[in-house]
Amino acid sequence: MDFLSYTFMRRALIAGNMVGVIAPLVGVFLNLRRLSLIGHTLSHVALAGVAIGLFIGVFPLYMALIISIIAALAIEKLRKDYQDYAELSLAIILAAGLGLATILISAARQSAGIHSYLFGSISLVGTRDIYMILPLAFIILAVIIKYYYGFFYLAFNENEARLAGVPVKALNIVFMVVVALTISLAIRVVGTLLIASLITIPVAAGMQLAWSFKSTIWLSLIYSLIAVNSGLIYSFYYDLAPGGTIIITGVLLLLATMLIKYLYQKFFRPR
Amino acid sequence: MALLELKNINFSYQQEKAVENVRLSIEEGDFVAFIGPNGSGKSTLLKLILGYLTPDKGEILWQGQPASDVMDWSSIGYISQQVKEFNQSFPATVREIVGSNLYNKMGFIKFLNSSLEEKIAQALKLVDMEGFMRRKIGNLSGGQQQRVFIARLMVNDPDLIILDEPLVGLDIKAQDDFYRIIGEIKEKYNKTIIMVSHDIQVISRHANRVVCFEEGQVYSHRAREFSYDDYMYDLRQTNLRIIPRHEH
Ligand SMILES: Nc1ncnc2c1ncn2[C@@H]1O[C@H](COP(=O)(O)OP(=O)(O)OP(=O)(O)O)[C@@H](O)[C@H]1O
Ligand SMILES: [Mg+2]
Repeated sequence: MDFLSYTFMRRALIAGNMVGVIAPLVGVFLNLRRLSLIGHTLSHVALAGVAIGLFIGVFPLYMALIISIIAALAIEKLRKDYQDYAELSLAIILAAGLGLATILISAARQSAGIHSYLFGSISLVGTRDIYMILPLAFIILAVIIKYYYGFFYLAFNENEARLAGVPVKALNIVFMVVVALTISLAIRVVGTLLIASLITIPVAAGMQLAWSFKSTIWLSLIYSLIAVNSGLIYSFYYDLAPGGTIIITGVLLLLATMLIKYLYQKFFRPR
Repeated sequence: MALLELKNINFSYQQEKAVENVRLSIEEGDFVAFIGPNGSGKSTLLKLILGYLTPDKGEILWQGQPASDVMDWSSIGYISQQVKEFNQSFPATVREIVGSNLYNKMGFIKFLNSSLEEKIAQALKLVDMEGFMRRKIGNLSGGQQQRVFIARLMVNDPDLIILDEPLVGLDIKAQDDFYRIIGEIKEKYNKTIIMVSHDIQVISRHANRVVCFEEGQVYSHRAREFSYDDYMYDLRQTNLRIIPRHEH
């Protein structure tokens, strides 16, 4: 446990665990609503935010936060107004975000810093990041707990939620902001390229074994925290980018779960 | 005063008229059957009543007041024509599905408490599904899922129940069970029900009023005097709006 004696590693673990809690929580709802493309899109938009920040000299994560919230609200509007073209509009926003990011990064000429925003970084998690991640992660957690069954209903049947008294329009907007915040907070730990995977992979693993909605959430959370913590520790000892080690751990956990489930069904279930 | 009154409702999708000058009034305790060919505007009229669509012309009154102003939507229980089209691998239990409809009755934090759990148990008992509380919704048969959706609607103690072709895909036994449960709901709670069905023979045995649809227009009848011949007769009429058939 000698890694705990390093301040930067303690900070990375705090940030990583906060993100490791909120990412699968948001991910369960996002994936079940079949909106996971929104995660991909917002992470590329967030990268544009990072690039703008680097370019004009503002803390990149603040810029990522602002830009991805704006994009999330725009996506929600497009999703409602042009239902038939929802996917196309996501693809366009994704392309615009990535294009803009590329231009700004190449124009800035000192692109050394960008590496950590693409793949995550444990040594660069600073106190400023912790002060940003902690309160926002708690707010996200509180919002999801408060509106738990509202988000559940939106995921199961968005159309009928209104008849149960769920404030559909408002909750949809809240949800999109929560997704944007989660993505921005995860940049430091896993990097923009792999955020969408952190939102998806633990949930996919959790759903393999789940027997209810609640258990889906708890299992996804457990998978996510195992992946984040072991990923960060590998990253520390082998000096690798944490984004990759976290996601690969997650993928291995998913594959192992699928294999165990398959073997169990093949050999232990009475026919 | 009528529970629900439709006054000269008109509605078109793009150019095509789907509902034309419909007048209809539904009393508390009515069991109204909607019948009519595919595309005659049954589901559209229901969506207008449910507030999913807004009439181009005309007015919908709920206990004499404009529905758009006074309606508490959770007082309507609805099973849509697409109810079975949900993601069958959705990881939720029967308890969670039925419980989610109690959203309005949950406290500041939207979770289920023990008094709500009791309501869920009662609703499932009504449809003989109390043993299925912890089963995944996707692992149930079509008929069992249908009963869960009836429980989901009943858990809210609705004033009006709207069922859009709830019998599609159910076998004879499940259809019998369905009518037995609906009969019980009517008898015990005297709920007002609107139900779309294509089986004129069966539905007119259960409903007390039959409303025939033809190209967006409606003809209303007392069920007891209503027969298949009347239905065919209606389909040949085009100018009449409402025929008080029993007066002929
Ligand atoms: N979303 C829509 N956009 C455009 N036109 C529609 C839409 N929904 C229905 N229509 C049209 O409105 C008319 C009435 O449709 P509706 O679904 O109300 O019929 P229905 O009586 O419920 O038929 P069915 O028995 O097949 O369910 C049809 O001509 C249909 O093509
Ligand atoms: Mg229909």
